[in-house]
Amino acid sequence: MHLLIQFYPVKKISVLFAFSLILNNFLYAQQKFTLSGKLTDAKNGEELIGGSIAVPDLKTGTATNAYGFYSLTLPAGTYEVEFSYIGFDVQKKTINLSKNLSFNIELSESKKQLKEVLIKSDRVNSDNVTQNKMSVVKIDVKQVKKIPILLGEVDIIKAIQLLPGVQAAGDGSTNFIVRGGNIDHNLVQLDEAVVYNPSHVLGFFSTFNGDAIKDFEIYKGGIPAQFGGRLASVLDVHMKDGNSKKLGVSGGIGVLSSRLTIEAPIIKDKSSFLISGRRSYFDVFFPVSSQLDGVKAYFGDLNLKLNYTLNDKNKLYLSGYFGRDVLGFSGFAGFGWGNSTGTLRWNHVVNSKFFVNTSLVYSRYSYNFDINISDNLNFRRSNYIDDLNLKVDASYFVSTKSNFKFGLKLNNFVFLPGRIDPITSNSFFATDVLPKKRAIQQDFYATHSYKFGSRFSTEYGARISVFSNVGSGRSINYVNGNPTFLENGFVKESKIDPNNPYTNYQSGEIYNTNFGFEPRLNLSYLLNSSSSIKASYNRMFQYMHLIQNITASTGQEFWTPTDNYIKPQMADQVALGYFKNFRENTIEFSAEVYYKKMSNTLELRDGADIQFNEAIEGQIVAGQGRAYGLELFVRKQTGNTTGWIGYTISKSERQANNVNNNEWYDFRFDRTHYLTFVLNQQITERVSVSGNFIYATGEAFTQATQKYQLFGNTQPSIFYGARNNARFPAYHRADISLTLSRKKKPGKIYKNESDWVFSLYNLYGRKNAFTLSYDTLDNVPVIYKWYLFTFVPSVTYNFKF
Amino acid sequence: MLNPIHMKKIFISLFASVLLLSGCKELIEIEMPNAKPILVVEGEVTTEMDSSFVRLTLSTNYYQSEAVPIVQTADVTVNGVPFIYVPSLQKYKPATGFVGKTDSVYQISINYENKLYTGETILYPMFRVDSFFQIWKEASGPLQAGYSLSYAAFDSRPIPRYTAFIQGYFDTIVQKDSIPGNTIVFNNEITPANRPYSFEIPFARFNTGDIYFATFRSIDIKMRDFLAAYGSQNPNIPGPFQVPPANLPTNISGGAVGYFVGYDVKRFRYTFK
Repeated sequence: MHLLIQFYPVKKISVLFAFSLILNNFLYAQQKFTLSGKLTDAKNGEELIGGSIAVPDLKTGTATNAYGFYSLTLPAGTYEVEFSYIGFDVQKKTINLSKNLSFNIELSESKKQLKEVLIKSDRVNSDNVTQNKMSVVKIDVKQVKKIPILLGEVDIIKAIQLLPGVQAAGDGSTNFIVRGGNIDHNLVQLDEAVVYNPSHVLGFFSTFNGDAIKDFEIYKGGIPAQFGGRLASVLDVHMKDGNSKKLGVSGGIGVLSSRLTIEAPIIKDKSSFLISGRRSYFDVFFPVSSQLDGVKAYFGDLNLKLNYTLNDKNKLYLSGYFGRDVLGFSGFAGFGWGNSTGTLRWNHVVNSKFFVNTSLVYSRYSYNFDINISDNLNFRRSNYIDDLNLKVDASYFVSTKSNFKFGLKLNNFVFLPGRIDPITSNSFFATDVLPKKRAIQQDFYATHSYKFGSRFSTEYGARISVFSNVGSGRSINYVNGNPTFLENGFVKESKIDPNNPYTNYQSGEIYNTNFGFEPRLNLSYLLNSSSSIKASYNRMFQYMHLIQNITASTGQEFWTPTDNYIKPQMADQVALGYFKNFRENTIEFSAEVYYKKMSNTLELRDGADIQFNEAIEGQIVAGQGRAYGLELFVRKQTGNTTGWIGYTISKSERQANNVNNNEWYDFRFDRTHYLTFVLNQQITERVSVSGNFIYATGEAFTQATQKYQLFGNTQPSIFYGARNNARFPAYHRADISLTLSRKKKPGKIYKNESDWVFSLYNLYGRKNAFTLSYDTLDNVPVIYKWYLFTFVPSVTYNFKF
Repeated sequence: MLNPIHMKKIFISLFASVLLLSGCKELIEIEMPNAKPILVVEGEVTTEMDSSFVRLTLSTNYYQSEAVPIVQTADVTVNGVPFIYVPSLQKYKPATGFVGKTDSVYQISINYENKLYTGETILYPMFRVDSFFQIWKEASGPLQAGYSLSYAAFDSRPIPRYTAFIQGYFDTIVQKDSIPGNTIVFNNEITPANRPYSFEIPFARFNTGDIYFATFRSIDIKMRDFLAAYGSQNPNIPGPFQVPPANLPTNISGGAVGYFVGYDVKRFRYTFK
């Protein structure tokens, strides 16, 4: 058992927390009233997340939470209150606050007019500067749809890869790396359900259908206490609720896939639904190629959502995601994988200051791998992870200066590491099941946001996580007590103790527990109305680990829990930033420096065998990591010209026991320079052009230094030098797209919208290395770089009515 | 049965073939540092008369296209039996009549340029292979219609025991073989124990007149690890399926690379009727 904290600090913190709660109530027990309600889109009733509610007279305000709810407690009086959201007209209300009031506000999208100065009502708030959070970026989904993406498929993950501090794990890949973390260090969740593999088609498409997504936000640091479980980042994605005003149909027909979304009220303004589906069809072209004839490859996914407003204080949501990938080769080999998630949520407004959300969440990631070579050589191998959790998140809005958030999450995990079943009765393979692993996790968190005066604000809190392995199950006993040993400089798997091979655990027996105390802190100091400095610190624990020996998302990777041998991963990150807005907040600028230290990271030992292996702890070695860098970000979100420039200079390193002579080495995705441009220009009402440019230092790789001959083979064996001691050529690429909207006649109102999007990925055909291979050419050893995508055109037709 | 690593190799090759259709390659120049040559050991003790040998070479800079440097001046012994360098074979050989014995431990000692390299292997017995037989099969997936080939066997050895199965030495056969490297490593954990069974050679269809060669070699677990890594080191698999680069493990101590193995060898030849 790894006892990471003593109990007394937790107790101490709880007392402090309770004390501050009482103190706040005492200090603010004056004649004050609360204005609360929801902010929604007038067009479709969608709740607006992160909308701004400002009281200019008092120079104060608040923002809506993830459910569009706000609460603002003010002294009694009459105020002009401004309700705003990016891309929407500001609404001003004069409110006489002599009692607690509930105000649900509907905002309308602002209409852009060319040849005019930026519409004043389409005002941008100064959240970038004033909000007490840093290292967080939110991109409007409408903007994402304009970004030229590989093969025209709208993809929020490809969009976030253009932000500083976030990068793709390979050309065209939806796997992403945040501030030196691993791929599995990112918490990706859709309507609060963890998406364990957010990739389709070997990682080239994400699981997120742009038509079904309302809002998303990525946290690279300063991660609030309500999130936990991953070291590097949180990608928090919210599905649309469904149009509660009228029937809406939208969709798109692309080169490789098409999608259709239907949303409508069930009971107007009370209940609505959304169904959104997507299916790829690139495999229909395979028979044209003799090499691909017989190959089956497709993905499909379905987003469903239903909501019902019980009354002013209660609302229910039911949402689900079902995705599946299938790859097959003429019936003799193939595999499939997919995520299924379901979320049942209950929003409850206890009173105007107290908001509670309770969610029951289920997520499953499963895969299967089939081999059917002959009558007696066939089997299906499968595994899955089940994640069922109940979580409660509460917000208590004490005043404009103070609010509390607290909650808990109870998780139950079941891992099936592997199961083999014969496909035919003649198969040599009998049914074989690796023992399931079970775990429970309990998380508790509390944070307090407080403003000292008009300039200084803080958010402090902590998350306590308790992760326990639970029977029934078993753990392996090794002859030397350790799953690995060192032989001739190589880490090898230890033998299982023949006298006592396993320790078995009864059903419900807790046999290993880890505690994590995760303090979080955000500080902000407003220098003036347009600039601020911020700092943050967060500690994160990760109890679930992705075991993967190739970068492709083939479904062969799997998750395994912390247990007797595998320790929880831990990261500490500090960040400091300067934030400045220009031109009435229309241009945002930020500069952030960060330092992150990771421990107990998992590295596969050389020659690790991770397939259908119960002794997975014998395939890995413990490591540590460190990452630091500077991120610069300039963004313009409104007007006819929008986009951003991001630049990162960073370093990311790893060290692991008995790897690279125990010396530190560059992380594979360490990129010294990472520069991105994203630009969208609305040329006329109908026509807009968008472009991206990205430049990145080449990724690190382990270079061969010598070759030698074995078995008389002319293809030499390779002796590698220090790990990740060389670099791919630099990566750079430009993409461009042209959007042509439906022609409109002046004065005529159109119910339907449609547009054509023509895009070119890798405009100048840069041959970016995806990987390297060693080969011989005329008996001379050579190195080839492999590249995948050069000059990829695509066209997509989108419609909405 | 087939080692999972080998299974992985099969589907990786399948995916790689798909990837190759969209992927392209281009030569690049990367600066290659010089490094000190490493001793490369290939040592085999077998149950076939006079087939045991030790071959010693040196590694070279990756980009150098020179001939493989042969080490001729080392002192080599196996269980105290001297192996003498034979220039015509470029190998170290024991005196005539040397035969490896099953269920024996063999230790190699190499003294080269005042450095000592040692290794150890266990020569396990092979399982019994009784006969080969053919069955006509219709076309299935990528396989054309033709004869499948199976062998009948009986295995009474303890579990696990490993076998390196090498097949298809003739061109006509190699063309029919879709498994790269022609070597399959498998163990007896899944095949029936202590009773007769048959096994069909995967990925193969044959015609009348074809000649098929098969060689079975028992190996110890260290050689199994070595061959698995050797197969996975295939550096030509491009793209996202390439496993992280790793040096091959070795059971030779002292800083050399390579292997020292004991084989119990069974060879078969089958002509299709």
